Amino acid sequence: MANKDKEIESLKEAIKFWEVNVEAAKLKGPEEFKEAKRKLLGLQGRLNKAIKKGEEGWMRKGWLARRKLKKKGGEEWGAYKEGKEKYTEEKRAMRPERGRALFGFGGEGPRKASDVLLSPGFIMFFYMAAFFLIIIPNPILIAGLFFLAIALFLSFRSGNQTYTVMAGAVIGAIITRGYLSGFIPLYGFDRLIGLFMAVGSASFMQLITKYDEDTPYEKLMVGGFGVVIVITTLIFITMIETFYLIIWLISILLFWTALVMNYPEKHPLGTKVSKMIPLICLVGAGIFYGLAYAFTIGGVMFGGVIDTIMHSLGGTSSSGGSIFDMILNPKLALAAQLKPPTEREYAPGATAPPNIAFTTSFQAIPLTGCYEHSIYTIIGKIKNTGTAFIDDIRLTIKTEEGISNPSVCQSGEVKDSLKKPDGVEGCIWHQGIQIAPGSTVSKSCLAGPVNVPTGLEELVNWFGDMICLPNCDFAYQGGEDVLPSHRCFFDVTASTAFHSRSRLPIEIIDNSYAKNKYLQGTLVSSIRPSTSSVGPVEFSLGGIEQPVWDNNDAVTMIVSTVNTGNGEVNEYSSIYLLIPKNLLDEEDGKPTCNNDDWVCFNYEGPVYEYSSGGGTWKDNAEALKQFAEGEGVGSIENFKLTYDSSLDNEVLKSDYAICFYNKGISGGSLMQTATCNLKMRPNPEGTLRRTEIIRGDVLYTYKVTSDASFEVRDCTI
Amino acid sequence: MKHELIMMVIGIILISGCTGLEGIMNMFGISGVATKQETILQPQQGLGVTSFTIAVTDMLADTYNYVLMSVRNHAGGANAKNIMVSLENVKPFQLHECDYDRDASSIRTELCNQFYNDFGVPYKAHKINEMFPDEEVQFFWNIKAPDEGEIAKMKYNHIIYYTLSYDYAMVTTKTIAGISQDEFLRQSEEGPVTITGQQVSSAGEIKFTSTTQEPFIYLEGSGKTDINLNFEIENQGEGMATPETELIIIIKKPADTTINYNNEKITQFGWKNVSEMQSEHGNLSEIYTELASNTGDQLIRSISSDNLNSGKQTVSVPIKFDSSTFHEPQKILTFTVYITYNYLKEGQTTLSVYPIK
Repeated sequence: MANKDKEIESLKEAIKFWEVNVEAAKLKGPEEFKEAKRKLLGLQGRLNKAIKKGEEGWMRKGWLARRKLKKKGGEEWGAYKEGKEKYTEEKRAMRPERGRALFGFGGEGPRKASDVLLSPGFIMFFYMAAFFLIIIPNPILIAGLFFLAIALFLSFRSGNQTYTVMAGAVIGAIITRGYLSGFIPLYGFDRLIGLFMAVGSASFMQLITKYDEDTPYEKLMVGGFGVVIVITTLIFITMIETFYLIIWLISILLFWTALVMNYPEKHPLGTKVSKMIPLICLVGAGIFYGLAYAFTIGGVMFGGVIDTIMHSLGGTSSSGGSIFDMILNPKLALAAQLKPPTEREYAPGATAPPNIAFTTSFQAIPLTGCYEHSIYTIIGKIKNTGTAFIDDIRLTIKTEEGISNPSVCQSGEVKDSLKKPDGVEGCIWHQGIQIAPGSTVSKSCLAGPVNVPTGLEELVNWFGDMICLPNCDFAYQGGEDVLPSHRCFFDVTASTAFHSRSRLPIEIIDNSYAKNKYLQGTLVSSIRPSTSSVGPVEFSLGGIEQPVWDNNDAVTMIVSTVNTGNGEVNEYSSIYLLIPKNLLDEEDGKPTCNNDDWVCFNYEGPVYEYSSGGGTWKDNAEALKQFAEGEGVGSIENFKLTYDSSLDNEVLKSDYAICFYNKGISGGSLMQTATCNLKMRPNPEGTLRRTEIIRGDVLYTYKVTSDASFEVRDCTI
Repeated sequence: MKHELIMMVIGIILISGCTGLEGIMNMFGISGVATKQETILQPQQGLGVTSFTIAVTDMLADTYNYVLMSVRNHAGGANAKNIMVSLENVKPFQLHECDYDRDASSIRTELCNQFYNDFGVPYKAHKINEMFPDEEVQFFWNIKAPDEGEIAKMKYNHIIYYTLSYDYAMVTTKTIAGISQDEFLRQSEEGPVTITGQQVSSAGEIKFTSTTQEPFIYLEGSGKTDINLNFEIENQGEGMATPETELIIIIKKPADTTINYNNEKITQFGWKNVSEMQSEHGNLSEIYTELASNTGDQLIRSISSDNLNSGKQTVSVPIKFDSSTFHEPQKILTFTVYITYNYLKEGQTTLSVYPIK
């Protein structure tokens, strides 16, 4: 305590000394005056701290302690009140000088206009105004630039280098202001979060840095920035646009720091507040950023669910903002989360990646081993590069066909206990793999000598999968005719079944009406593009002429499937179209296609009668049944289960024709086209426009293969 | 000086704040004060659609929605008759009426709590017999979205059109100015003679404009002068004359013995007597009761809507002006033209169906 008293006394003496010096420095020049002022303020700050830590440490007592003290009353409470009043008075006495130092007002002695204009507070005010006007929406940007110009002018006049940092910060804010808005979908929140981050980070830095009048500002700043940059980098490292976020943050930080560091002994918001602000602002900003992350990255990872909702919210409507539609119709929002409907479609010609896409890769550890004793860890990887969740994919690794693999590389026999399903080849195989968008799934196993070394089971378990081990005895056990080395080649194949759907609305316009619109010059083509579900095979319908209804009018439809993915079609199961009866010939109820590749069946009237004992087939339905059986589908019920469960309602009850592509379809055929002539039935009386929707579906398995290899050597040589 | 500077800075701040107020309000999701102005029909509109909206533009498959349409008759127009509003391109949507889902083109055979005269018209349409000037009527339909399968389980954007058709009449009064030759020469000495009549028209989509050379010149007390009254007729509205209909034009001359139609030429110019036209087009006097009493002053003719929709049409009326007993330097002749037509307007709106049940 005695030391503290001495320190306080010493500081008071020093303050008196510097107060004289300040007056003297006024006569020497502005730089000397500022330096002396700075020293004086520093000493006053230190004195305050010393007083708090010393005899008047009671000032630091909390509200509860003070309350207890007040209740207790007596001499101690009287001392407290006296000490508090004295402390307050001292602070009040300091105000004029501090005010004068900050803003040029108050204090004693003559003043000039430049004392105000070039005072730190005044210049800071312009920087603050410029900063806030710049970060908020566009109309104020110009005003912000105006304020910035004034601030820069006054900064140069003042000759203080610290303001250069602030100018850089504001200019940085101008440059980077656009990036946050691109990252965060909620309008206005980017600025709000930016402010949170700025205040929080600057306050945090204020806490971790200590002012020392012997330490140059620059060192303090650099030290503080370093800590903050490291922390923010750790927080945002996993986010996109980290670079821009940090630039933004640093820009704000530089500005704020420059503000508070000029008068470090007093945080503008008070000690307690300054401790709370970092916590509130940083955590708050983290939550906001987390939400933003969920809305963008998370939306993609989980099938674009949230993105879909945001897309829906962002739509326009003639009856007002569609956000109200969502509020009015919560079922839509709820269901959209469960099943995103829009991401599976795209406009033809769009460059968006398909939602179902994946790549494969292979890794062997080691890449080179020995005949006798090496055990290879074989890792097959599938990466989901699309935007949808793949819930059933199969991975196989087998020796590559067409390559002369030596006997050492051939797969071993399948053991009875680990029978593979029919039709599955390769020694490593997995089914039912689920992969989230953007993530990679690895499946590993071991291959090595037939005689598995003792204890290998544990190692296998460590890798988490031993299903392939009995099937993959790649390595030769040695022998007299062993070559020095062999390279074993493999195919790593991932495959999944997929539907590509297509929909073509044909909007037909009445002939007479169209003619008059044409005469008026107001006829707009009603040809509408088809919409395809996104997948590696693009299944499209199109080629319709302007569909104007007239007697005996017909349009041509072209059907095509094109492989636009990175793999190949392993097998086509079926391609079929559903064509409404209004686009069919009235007599035979079928479209006319240019070849016999398409087999069409017409359903006029009730064709399948359900009863408790089963159904009765009639007419064309019987033909479809036979066709379905011929295709190996078995029955129409199986067909519905396999292809389209909606066929029950659509085909059997709604008078559609169903057309199958009846040509032998193989995986190697990447493009199939067909042309069908559709005859439009007359419009109902008084109908000027109508739309008929043709739908199609192609079911196939799609596979992506990559090559892989490892080397086996005779290590005894 | 410093005080002025400070005041100036404060002023700038305040002004900046005001100019950026809208942006700040937007930032925090506060919209400014909005004034909603009533839709005003233009003079070139008879009946106008003041709004065509869908209650919810994003629908779920197999759910219901409302289409709303407001129609107003121009206050400066005539009574509109046989007003029919209809939705077009409804399929694959259905209409829900009287507790059942209906095909849009099916004929309505029952009415449920509605004041429209809809019996016997398709479910997609509503009909009322007459609308008075400045009367406004709102029509609505309850539509049902297609199910998932019908839209192939992909989000479906659909355009629904409306059509509004109605019978309308427009009245134009045109005065034609004539001048005697002597008077014309006298006035010519003082400068160009620019005497023209006036034209006043009621609201409507069909524009009827006189292109008659004015003033016509006659000789006082000296026999008959042949004059051709020329008019241009064009569609100035956003819609079209309903295809496969005809516009009827009736011209009524002033009850003045000095004016007569040139009977030798009226047939050549496409005009007929009202009685002839009545036999072809039915009872015209329903609309023009005021004309039926004095059909001798009227001529009538028709124009195909196809011709009118392809551009301006010109009609001429041959008349003879008898000045043998007329001794005045100027003459003003007032003609009244009635045009009746069936007009068709179209508009559209878009809605989306999400394949979610």
